[in-house]
Amino acid sequence: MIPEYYEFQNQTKILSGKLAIYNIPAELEFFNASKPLLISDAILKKIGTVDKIKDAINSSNKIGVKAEYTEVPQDSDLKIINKLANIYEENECDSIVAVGGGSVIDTAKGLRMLISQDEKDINKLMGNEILKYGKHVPFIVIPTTSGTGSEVTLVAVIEDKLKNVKMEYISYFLLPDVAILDPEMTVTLPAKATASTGMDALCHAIEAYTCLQKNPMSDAYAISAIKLIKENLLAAVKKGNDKKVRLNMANASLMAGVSFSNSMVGLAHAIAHSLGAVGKVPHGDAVTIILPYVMEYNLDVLKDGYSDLLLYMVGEEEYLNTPKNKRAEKVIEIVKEMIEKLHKETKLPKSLKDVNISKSDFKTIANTAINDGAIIVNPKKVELNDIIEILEKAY
Amino acid sequence: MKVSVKRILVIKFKEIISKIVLFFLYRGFNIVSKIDDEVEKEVRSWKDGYTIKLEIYDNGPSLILKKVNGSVKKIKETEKTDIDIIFKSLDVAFQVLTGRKGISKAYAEHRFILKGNIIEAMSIVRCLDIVETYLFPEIIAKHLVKSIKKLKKPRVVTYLRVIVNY
Repeated sequence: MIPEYYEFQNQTKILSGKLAIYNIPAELEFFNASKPLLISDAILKKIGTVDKIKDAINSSNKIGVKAEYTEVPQDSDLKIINKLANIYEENECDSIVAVGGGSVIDTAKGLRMLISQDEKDINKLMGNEILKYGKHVPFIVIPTTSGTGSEVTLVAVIEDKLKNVKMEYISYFLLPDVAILDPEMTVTLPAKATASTGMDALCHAIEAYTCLQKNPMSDAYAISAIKLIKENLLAAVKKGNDKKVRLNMANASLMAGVSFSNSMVGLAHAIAHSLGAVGKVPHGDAVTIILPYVMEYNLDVLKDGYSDLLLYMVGEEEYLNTPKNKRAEKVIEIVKEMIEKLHKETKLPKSLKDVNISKSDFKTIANTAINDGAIIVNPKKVELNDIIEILEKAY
Repeated sequence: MKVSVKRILVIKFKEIISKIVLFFLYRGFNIVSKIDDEVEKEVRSWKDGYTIKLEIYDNGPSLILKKVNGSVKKIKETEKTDIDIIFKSLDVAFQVLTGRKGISKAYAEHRFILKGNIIEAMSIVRCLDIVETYLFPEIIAKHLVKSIKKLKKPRVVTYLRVIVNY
């Protein structure tokens, strides 16, 4: 059904497949850029991923990494972004290449925002769609996990650790110019992280398909993502070296990213963000634990939406064999089964107890979640007690 | 720029109605914050001096609310706002202000720009949802909010208090 009104944008160019990273110099040249700042984290530096990208860029005669920073922490931090802005200026860089997961990409988005808006204080840019088109800073992203979808999203979350606040930025001008999905980049991802980030991608797609802002374009991406995740996530966990499966998951994560960038995520993400902030639960783990219970909570208003998804999860035959009034519940059952299988394979946490959340934290978690921006697009009204009940069930 | 007479009249009409609704929205907000404990609690959580601006793109009608000594006051001008909600067009703002589109739906449709901390803005969204429930008849309100809450006072009492501003 076409909604009364919707907006959709995804201008990011996608390079997907073998040897994709070797196109980085050509892509930079398209933007008349030749001196990128390379941003990543310490683990990717240690395992050689950063050097692989450096080699790919530096093997060009015209283009070379001008500066690199590989100390991005687990949560993107305002202090690091300001530091990177100095590195970028001092080295006269003209573009940004980010290699990593969500925090590296969000950090790079923050840096690009500062340079492009010619602003020293990132607090002034906080909000939803307040940025105007600024100076164009070519920005290439190479995700190393298949989950955040951050390579194609209009959102960045940056923490001010001094003030202990998370700041959210939403703007179409945060979208990277190029996203590179090279199976080489994710084969080293450990099984548990593969499971956790894969479930994050599934949650993005399910919530994008069912939130207030859903539209035919975001639906198409969400459906394709769900189908790919259902078919490939367990295989990616079991056979991490299978590049075909890895590429499928990278594409699924990107598609889920495009979908939720335009349709947004809802209650499961609001609670997961809060579990991350209050209990330091890794985002993918938090989403895995909470997703089925949020689906149960939303079931009465989302019966049709969840029912639709069954077709993409089980195929035509089983879909038709499932009574119409049982399809939505069946989707929740399948999500639970997936979590169970991933738990058996990787010890992926499946309850709040598994991640050492105490019942005494529930009130704080609920209070934080109720103020999360994702709450507003959840199709069902949510109150503090509803969140506490969900947490009780997930314990 | 040349604009048709019909469009000019439509703009004028919508501007006048929007100004009137914003005036009553302020009064409604003030009254509801006194009779509804949820709104009262939300307002209590804002720091004194907290300033919210609701405006319509391109110098359209606006409403500035400021928390002064614990209660919400309307002010004419401000240099600094904590949250600024800017509707991208008068036509959409008119839909929201006349009860044809809820605030959550407007957000989902990217109908306004939000300057400031999105996390803090959630408190304002919750308040506006509740205020809309009091100000619009149930038949309209049920299309604007995700679920209708049980009102602490009948709507007619709210209407009377809004009219006399007490």
